[in-house]
Amino acid sequence: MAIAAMSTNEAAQVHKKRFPVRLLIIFIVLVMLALFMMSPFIWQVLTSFKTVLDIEKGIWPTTWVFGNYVEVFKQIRFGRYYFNSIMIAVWVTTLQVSTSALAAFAFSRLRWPGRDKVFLMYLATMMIPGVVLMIPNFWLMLKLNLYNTYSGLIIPAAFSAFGTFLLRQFMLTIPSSLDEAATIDGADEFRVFTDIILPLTQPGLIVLAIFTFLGNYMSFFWPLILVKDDALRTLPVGLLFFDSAYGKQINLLMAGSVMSILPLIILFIILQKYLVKGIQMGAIKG
Amino acid sequence: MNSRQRRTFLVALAMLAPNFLGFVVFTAGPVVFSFIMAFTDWNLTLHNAYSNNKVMFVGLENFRALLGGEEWRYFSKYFYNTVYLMLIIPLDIALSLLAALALNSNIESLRGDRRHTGPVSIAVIAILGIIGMAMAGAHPFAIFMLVVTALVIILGLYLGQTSFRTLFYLPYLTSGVATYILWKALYRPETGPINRGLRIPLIGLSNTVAHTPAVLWNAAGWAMIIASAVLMVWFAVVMIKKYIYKDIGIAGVIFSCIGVALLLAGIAGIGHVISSLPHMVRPSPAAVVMLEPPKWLVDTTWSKPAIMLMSVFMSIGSNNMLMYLAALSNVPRNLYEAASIDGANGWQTFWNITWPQLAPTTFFIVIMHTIGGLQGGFDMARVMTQGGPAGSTTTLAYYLYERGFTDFKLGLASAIAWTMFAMIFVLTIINWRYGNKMVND
Repeated sequence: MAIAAMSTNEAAQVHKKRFPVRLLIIFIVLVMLALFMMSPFIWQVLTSFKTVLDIEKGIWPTTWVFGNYVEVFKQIRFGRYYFNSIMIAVWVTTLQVSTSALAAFAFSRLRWPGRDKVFLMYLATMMIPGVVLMIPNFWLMLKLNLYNTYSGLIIPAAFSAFGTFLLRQFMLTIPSSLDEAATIDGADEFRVFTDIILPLTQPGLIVLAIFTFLGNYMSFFWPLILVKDDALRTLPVGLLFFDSAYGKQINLLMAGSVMSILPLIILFIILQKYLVKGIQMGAIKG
Repeated sequence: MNSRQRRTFLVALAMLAPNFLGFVVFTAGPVVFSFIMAFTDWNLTLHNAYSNNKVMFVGLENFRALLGGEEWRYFSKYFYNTVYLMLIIPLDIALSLLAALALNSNIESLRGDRRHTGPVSIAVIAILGIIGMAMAGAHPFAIFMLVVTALVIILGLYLGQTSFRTLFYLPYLTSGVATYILWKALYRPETGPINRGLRIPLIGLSNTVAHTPAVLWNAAGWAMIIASAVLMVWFAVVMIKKYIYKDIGIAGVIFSCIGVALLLAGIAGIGHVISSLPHMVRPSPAAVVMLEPPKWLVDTTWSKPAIMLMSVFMSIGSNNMLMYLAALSNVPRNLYEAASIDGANGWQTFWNITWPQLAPTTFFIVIMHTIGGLQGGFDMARVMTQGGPAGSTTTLAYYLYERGFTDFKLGLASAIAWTMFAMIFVLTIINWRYGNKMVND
């Protein structure tokens, strides 16, 4: 089921001994496109080092202010926002992956009455756009006194039918003969889960973890409506208010946003193999 | 149930419990609750801990207001905004496809060509270094860009597809509030780099237009408009022919015609602008007006195009491209070989083999983007324009936020949400029925 995205076919090249002009042109186009797509980020990074006066003068800073990055932490509670974002995202990811893995196992490996009907319910809710759920969840948080709390930010976000669905797909590809062998050897369901299925589902777990973390780290609507205190704000919301209040200081703003996206870039570079595979799996299924 | 089955059931229950509980409380329950609330007059300013008002059922009142009553002028306008923003989807997909094609052909050469990459990189560094030294007195930015270009080239040569794929994906990966703030700064009318970069060419263009006969521009513009009209007709004819020969279903005809129509409409629009350039620059024979770059986010006409431009940027290298790459690598080789034996050139190969093979992927992407487009646009609108000058960038999602969390009319907001759901549901059904059909062909 793994898709080899890099199929090198030597045979197709046999008659290409001459210098590949066409490929050179494509390469040049790709380079130019890459530079083009990086240009906003280049501007962003360069601006983050400028003084306020420099911002309008030209793209290159005349004086380099490394202190901007420190200044951001002083002007707003940036460190706090950072901490909030990462902590919440980690919590949500952990909860999401663990509960989804258990549920996916129950849906894929165990037989029990009503299993498929319940799963159909899960599938049905996946079609529902998130906006529909925002309002009732908001009210629920008010009622449970979880408005403006960390729990309010974490718990509702930790449950999504999508996680269960994804992991179930993964688990279905594992041959059941492994289960049977283990059961014959005397393992109970929990052992089968922890020792056999979980290790084999690892790529799926990683993909889900990455998607969940990314999605939650960047989530904006929910933290916006749920949080009133500055101390609980996440990065996106914090940046928004930074922009409204300190909009003129674009250099600081850019420094802040560079720091926000840095974790994403690092994560992506390290884990891109899994991410890409996850996305492509979705496409092949249709 | 025997005891074995009961045991399994209990174990399943135990494993399922946390997730299922969360599902009921935060997903299934809210769905039902939201549905009911759409039929009430629930308003947090009226129904809260400090007042004794009861929430009243009002039946279809909210929907009536939305779809013909007091809210209709907002709903229709914001629906228009939402659909307008979605018009960029064909271009998004076309560019992602092009990027995927470019990347796909790239890997088949330089990867296997190890003995070339070494000398080529050295040559590149040498050339750029020479240029750099020649510009030694030049602006540091130029040198900086030279270094960056060299890095990109070297990465591209050694890591091949992966490095480009990563670079292209970055705008999408980082597309969140941080990036919207970046683009808001980029789009600033007076001081932003985009407009500062546009001013000089525009002055040049204004001068050129002012001093050349207007006929030239009118003709060029009209030529473009007519050309796109002709192309559209020709394309439609080709599609209908295919339909008659049962090469393609009616869905394929409709979708591709819409997509091509939008692209050609864009070209026609550019043609229209070109033909009206003379008038813009010389509204009266004596006056010469310099063309100004648009005010983007603060201009009601340009706010949506500004957002669309930004979204194209973010979507070229995004999941679309990755999906196309995967689909491309799944096209059976023998089809290409058969085509080249039959003497097909590049364009024919693409049109008759690659494009049909990619059809399921394309369909999937179109549907997913349309569904996403209907519910999206909130983050951008909230960060960049707060709904836009005079509501020109308010999408349905932002409308929901306004009514629900600014006006606290939660009943009405629920009605908006369910109306959106109805639209999305229709699309999902289409996806379900046609998607399966296409995949199974």
